[in-house]
Amino acid sequence: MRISVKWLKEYIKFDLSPKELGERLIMTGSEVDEVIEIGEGLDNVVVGRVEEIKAHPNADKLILCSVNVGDESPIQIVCGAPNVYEGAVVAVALPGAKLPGGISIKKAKVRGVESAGMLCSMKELGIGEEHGGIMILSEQMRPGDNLVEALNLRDTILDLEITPNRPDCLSVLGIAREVSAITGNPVQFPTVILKEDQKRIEELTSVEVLDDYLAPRYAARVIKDIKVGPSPAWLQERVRVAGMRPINNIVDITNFVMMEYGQPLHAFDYNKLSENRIVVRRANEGEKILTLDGTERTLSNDMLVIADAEKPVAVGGVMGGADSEVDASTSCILLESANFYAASVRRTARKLGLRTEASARFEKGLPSELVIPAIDRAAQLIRKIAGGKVAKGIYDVWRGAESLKELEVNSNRVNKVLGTNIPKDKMMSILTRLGFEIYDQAECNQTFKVKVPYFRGDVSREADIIEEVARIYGFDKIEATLPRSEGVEVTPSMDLVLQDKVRTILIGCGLDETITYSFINPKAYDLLRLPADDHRRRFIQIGNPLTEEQSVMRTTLIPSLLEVVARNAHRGVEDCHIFEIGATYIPEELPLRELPEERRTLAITLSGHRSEESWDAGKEKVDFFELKGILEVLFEELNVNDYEIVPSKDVIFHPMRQASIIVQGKNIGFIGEMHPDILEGYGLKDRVQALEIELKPLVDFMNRHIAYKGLPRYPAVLRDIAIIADKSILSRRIQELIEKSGGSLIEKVHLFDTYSGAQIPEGKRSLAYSIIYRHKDRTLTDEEINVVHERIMSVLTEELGVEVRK
Amino acid sequence: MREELESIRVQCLNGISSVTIHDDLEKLRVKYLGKKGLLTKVLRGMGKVSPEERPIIGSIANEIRDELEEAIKTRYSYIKEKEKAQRFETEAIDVTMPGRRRSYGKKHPLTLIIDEIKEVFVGLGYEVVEGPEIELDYYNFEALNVPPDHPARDLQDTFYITDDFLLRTQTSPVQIRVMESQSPPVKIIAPGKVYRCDSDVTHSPMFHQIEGLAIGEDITFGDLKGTLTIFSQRLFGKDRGVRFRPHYFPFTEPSAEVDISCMICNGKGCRLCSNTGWIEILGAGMVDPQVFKVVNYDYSKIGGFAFGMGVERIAMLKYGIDDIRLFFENDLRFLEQF
Ligand SMILES: [Zn+2]
Repeated sequence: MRISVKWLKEYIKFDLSPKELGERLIMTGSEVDEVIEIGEGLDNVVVGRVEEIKAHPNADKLILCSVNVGDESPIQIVCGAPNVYEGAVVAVALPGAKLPGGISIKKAKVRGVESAGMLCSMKELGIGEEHGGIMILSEQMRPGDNLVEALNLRDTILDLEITPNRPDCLSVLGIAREVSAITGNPVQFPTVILKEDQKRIEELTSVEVLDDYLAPRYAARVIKDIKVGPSPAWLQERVRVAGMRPINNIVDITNFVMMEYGQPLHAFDYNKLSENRIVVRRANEGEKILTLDGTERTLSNDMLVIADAEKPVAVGGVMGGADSEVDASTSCILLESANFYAASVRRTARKLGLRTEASARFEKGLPSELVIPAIDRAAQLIRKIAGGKVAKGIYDVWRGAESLKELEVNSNRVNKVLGTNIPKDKMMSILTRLGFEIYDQAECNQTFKVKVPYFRGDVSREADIIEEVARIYGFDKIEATLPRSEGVEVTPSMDLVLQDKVRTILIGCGLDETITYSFINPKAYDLLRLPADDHRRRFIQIGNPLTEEQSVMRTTLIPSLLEVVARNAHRGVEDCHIFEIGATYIPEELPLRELPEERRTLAITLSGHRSEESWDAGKEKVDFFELKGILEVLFEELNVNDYEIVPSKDVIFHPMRQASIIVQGKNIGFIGEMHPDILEGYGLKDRVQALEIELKPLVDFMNRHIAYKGLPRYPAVLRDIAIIADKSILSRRIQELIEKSGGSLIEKVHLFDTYSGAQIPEGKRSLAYSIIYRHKDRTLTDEEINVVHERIMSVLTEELGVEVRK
Repeated sequence: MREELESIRVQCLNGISSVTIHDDLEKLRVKYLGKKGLLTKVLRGMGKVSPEERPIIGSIANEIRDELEEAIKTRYSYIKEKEKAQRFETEAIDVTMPGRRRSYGKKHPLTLIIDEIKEVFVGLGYEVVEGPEIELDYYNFEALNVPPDHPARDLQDTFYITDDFLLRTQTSPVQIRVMESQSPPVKIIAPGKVYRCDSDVTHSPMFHQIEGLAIGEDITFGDLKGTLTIFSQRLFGKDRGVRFRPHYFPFTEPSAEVDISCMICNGKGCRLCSNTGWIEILGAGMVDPQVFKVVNYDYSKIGGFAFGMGVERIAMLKYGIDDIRLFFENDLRFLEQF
């Protein structure tokens, strides 16, 4: 909302500079987005009269103007504008001027001819938008006068951000009321005395409202014998500073009054209305209208239209139709001032993709009471500026006034909520200045009653009154305190504690944390080569995604991480050791009928080299066991010891290098080397190791009791065992068998070497384990150990058919 | 015999001074002082010496033995030191060569900011909670005093899944869920992901917010100011000015936006703060009575404040990041700077 300080001052006196005014408005709730100084940089721009025009000797499109700028002799200016004529009074930028558009004026030669300045357009002067040519001034203006003074241009525009609850502030008078509350000075409202004609409006037209829910009030006036033409300069300036384009006197007046009062108005060409009457109704499904912007709109039944006897002539509260537009030939108008149901205007404007100054106001909810003052003000101005006779009366169809809201305010309660000691009198004076009417108040009483003014639809409860008092009193005057402690017991969420811990551990393992979008491309599931019935393809779709790439909620984090790996590889970062903790979204049912499960999930991918580049380290690449080692460390640190890694068959992995992760008998995720075809799909040449687990099942382990075990006091004995086994026998099986058959004397079993190749038969491999034997109460003898060790060897031979190497 | 002893002494001393390695020294010791060594051999011939001379020869022999042993010991230390010095020489390294690094990962910058914010509020007695990202329209809007067709819905372009389910546009629904499930007093913060259909240099369709809520019998607007002033200064420095400006949110009344004085220009005005000297970091306000009504809290008995902030915005301000998309590209050269 652009507010001209000069315009504002016509309704209220104040001593604040524009900058101070802006500060005060900010601190009372109207944010200032921008402060625009009009007339800035125009010191060296003067009024000039073009005395003579000659052709430029070297350029067809340029002319030489001899311009009187108040000096004894005229100056010569080279100009290219098509609309200059001899006798034209123009704006002349003299050498030294620095125009708002950034142009600096110097004496210069243009195509070999001396030019002592520039004739300016409005745009170049920063006072308007048109650029059809240079600005032509009134012939009464005196050459040599400073342009800013001559046009009384000096002004400051405050571009205010008005919050959606305050449509009353989308007007100069509304802001004047705010300034009044700030300064205590009264608002001078325009005096409207309207001289009406003898002819009664009922003889000229009728208004029929068929849906008074969507149109609570519709008022019309008819004005005959008007003369449509350009607006006077002052009106054009007002319209321009408000950010609109002057069109003609009628349209400019409706816009002016909208800016002044906040009530949108519309003027129809009376003679273009079929049967000269208005019907306010819902549109018929598929009904069409050509709106003022020249676009044909197809309407639907939930939209309100203003129609004549036959067809829609405006989309209610949004935009008028082109067919009934006021133009140079118009001699009689029907002026509309109406109130429309906010939600419906908002819906209609959205559906049509057409937001206008009018719809922006209506959709926030305007009071019906504003309709009459605004239509009278407009009629008064039209009569004054465009001439004409205003028919007697207003055709006013109103569902009925709602009585003003009355609220009881407890001043103690206000102070209790704010933490202040504002006297009751102070509160009452703030509210009075905002237009509230105080009644039923006694000196001795803490409470008083207020009537809420009609233009404050946003105030309906005591809390709203508290806000009014607080913002005008000044948030900055309220003392900053801390809540008195109420002794709330704070129990940290174990889910969050777990997530934090997992992050800390993985960072310690050298992984970087990533955060990627929760929505992914559905094609990602194809890239993963998932079959049609794979559970991961049961994803939730976004109804209105921004792009296909961000259109479905992910059921796995792997594609997101692969994209990160690919993006980094593409940018030359090859070694990528990353993880993410995020939700996967698992629907119970599709389409959704209840909230889906948001499964906290951890994913890790490793690719590239094992460790950071060093001058002596090997250039080994990561493999499955690198990632498995990280998983083992993670589980160890989280006290998770009851888990198994079981070979699996997931299509996303290398068929021979993958496993399920089973914790306490429950499958919580997978680990493996990504399938080369998938990596190819992501444009990756290097192998990628990946893991994904659900975190929730790990939470229980967080509270696991840790009991200290005494340090061993007797020596351990270390014995190795080497076997040659079928490749199909899993290491875990062998290890378990050793532990089981070794019994309580075994402290630890550890695989320290594997080998297959020369000297080992095809299909077999050698595995070497070291076993640590220890008794907690005494030193073991060789004989004791031999018995156990022999037993282990014979069990392995018998149960697994392996060969024990001696 | 004296001459014999003297010549052994001289020979041995000569030998000692000429050996340079430890093994040769040991051989020399055995040769002269060992059980079958030259000195012992000479002393075996003591029989031939007159009884009067024996003690004299004996003491001379002992002196010589002591002297030689001492000389060997000295020589031994000398050789040892020399060998050490040589070893050190051969083991010289270039200490300016790079170390062999244990790699250590980095938390995501947004996690760092969330952690920092959590720390401040946990210190003030707040509990950290989470809520669902896929939400019901009811919790995201209606319960927060934003009925259908409310103009505030325009400010937040919403991703819808169905008419009832949406991606939450704010962390505020967590307020409702918490108040529904526990009675006052309440002090929580709720970090999490939120979603809006908007994408450019400063808007991401997914971003993070932190919501805060404090409910109790005597909580005032002054308490809101105090709490958020502490927070702002903890995050951005003690010398930052903090300003509370009236604003509008459907679920708080009165509502405020919180600005800090610009850290680049210190309030003088620059590009970062669009020449205002202030930078907005938070939205806040006293919980609207309508919200209390929805969760069956008695507005006449309790009060409270709520606040919300964008994590990316705070991270961008703190780290001087000018493109929000960097957070989600996860270029390791970006991530590893934090
Ligand atoms: Zn600044």
